[in-house]
Amino acid sequence: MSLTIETGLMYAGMVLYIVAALMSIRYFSTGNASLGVGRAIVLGAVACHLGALVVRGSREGVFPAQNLRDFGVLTLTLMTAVALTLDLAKRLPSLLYGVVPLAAIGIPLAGVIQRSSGAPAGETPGPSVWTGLHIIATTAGYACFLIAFVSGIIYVAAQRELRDKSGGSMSSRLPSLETALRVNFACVLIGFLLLTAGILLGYLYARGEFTDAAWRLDPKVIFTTATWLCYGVVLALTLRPRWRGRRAVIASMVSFVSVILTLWASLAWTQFHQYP
Amino acid sequence: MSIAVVGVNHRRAPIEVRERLAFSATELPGAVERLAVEAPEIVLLSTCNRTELYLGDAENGVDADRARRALCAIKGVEDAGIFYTFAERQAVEHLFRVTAGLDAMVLGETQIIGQVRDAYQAGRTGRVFNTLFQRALHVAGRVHSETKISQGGASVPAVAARLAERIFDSLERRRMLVVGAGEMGVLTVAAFGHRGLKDMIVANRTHERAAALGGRTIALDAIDATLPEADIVVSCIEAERPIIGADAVNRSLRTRRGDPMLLIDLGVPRNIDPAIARIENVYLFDIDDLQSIVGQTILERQSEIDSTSSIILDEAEQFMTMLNNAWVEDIIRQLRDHFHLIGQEEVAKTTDPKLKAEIEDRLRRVINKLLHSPTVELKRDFKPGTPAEIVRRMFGLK
Repeated sequence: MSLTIETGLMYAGMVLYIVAALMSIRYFSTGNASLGVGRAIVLGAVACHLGALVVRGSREGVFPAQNLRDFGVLTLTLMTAVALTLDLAKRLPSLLYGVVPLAAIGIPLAGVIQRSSGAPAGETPGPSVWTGLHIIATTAGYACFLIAFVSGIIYVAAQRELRDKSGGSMSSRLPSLETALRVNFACVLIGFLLLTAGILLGYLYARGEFTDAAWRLDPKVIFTTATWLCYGVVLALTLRPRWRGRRAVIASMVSFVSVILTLWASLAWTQFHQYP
Repeated sequence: MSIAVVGVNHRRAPIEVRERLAFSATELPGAVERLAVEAPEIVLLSTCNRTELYLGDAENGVDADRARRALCAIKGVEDAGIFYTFAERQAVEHLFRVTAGLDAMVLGETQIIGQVRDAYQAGRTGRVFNTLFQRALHVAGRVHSETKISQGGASVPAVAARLAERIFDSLERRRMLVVGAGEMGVLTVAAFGHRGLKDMIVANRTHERAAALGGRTIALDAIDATLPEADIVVSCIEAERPIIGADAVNRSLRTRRGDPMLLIDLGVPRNIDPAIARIENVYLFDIDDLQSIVGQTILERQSEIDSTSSIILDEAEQFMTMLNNAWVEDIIRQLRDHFHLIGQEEVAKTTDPKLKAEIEDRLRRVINKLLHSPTVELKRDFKPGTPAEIVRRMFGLK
């Protein structure tokens, strides 16, 4: 019964994301998508997927981030929830409609990759509280980096319209440069702090759990550390006046490559830190 | 029932005539009082672009020509064929267009909504005009929310202020340096003030004119030193060569720790070195850039005319149907009352209570059967001047 509820919630969430993604296309192309309806649909999608994760977690007694699909759902749901909160608080529909297509594509894709790997979903033994916190912190950090990436795209698009000295066909749909920059910086900063916490929690857990030090050279650990360094450099550069604005935003967008590489490492390369 | 409008606007009359026909806010109540003899419901709309007198009568027709002569007499203006007159549905459509800003000098402007609301509140209104003007305000809201008719700035100062909002979150916390306190400077200050900017520094050749704009005043040779304080710089002064150079802007950016700057150059010849446009975090727009954006905005607004017209026509149709329905319902009610009254007079002659009740019952049935067909016909074809009008006259109904 719980499996049926979980699957139903997952599919309902995906359908809502697809509808919201279609509204997103309409919003950016014509500006005519209803914001109230869009927000309600995204809220519904977030609720469905969080509900599915809770059902799965309570059924199996594990933290529901046991495989790539779970990880994808959790990261993208957190990302959407944060974007929705920012939109409701600061009226940033372009950010909400900007992240929705990522969720609409990313969640089914994570499921497809999970199935094609042949690994059964959700059969890993339940993690400890420490690994649960490690997963939450790193996942939330990656969600922040995703939002920073989307807000970076918005900043670059808004700035390009200004530099082109056009009336700005998109300008009514985009926030001011100041807002886009502030969201980008805040997400990089919060993401960096969460990733720092996640790395520390993972380090403390692994040091107590594993006797040999081979885990330190695991590709996923190395790439995660590289990601942490990249975003640390971005934050340091942002403090320099010459780097404020476009350069800092582009640096944060480039740093997002390291997040992708970390994901790739966890899928294809790692022996120790692989998703089942 | 009748609705009419007589008036002049910027298309029909030059400014010299319009200003003679204009009514100030203090003159308006007196004028409405004097014109009240022309119709039971009167609204006088007077703006810089138009003076229009709306006349309404829920029961009879209105004499628009007489009202026009009365309007001219108040202001001592010759009635020289500059007035337009619209009646009934055309008058309704005209009011909807005016309120939505479609008849404005700057297409899609929204200031007129407040002006129509003020005129309505100052007018003598009844059942017809209360419905009509509230509907007009609703239609204007629909037009502005459902179409792009009011999007973008349609004047150089308005575009400059909108550009600032594309860079900065809120203009309330920003400081503007205005170089030149001429007419363009005044208009630009007003446009930015309208969007919340309060903090201003004015640099001008003469201190008096700078002071008249408000804010802190500085001499022209203090511009470079003041530049780091300004988030927005608007320059509109006569100068043979640029008065703001790239070096000064670069220095001010360093002081501002990279905070962006918007520079608006409205001068011809240009007041700001064009090379500044290449500096990171500095956005420079000259008069040609702004006029090009204004042109695009006007074109975009014009492309919305079809959508807005369909809203206006649809709403006018709905309004006329609603108004005529109410009118014909009133006639039907009066007709039934008229018949029942005659019946009651005859029933009153009967003294036997049992017989009286029976006659009353039968009489009611007879009247209902007799009036069924006329009622259906009246509802089917309810335009004034058709059966409804004939019935009204035949039975002496109001």
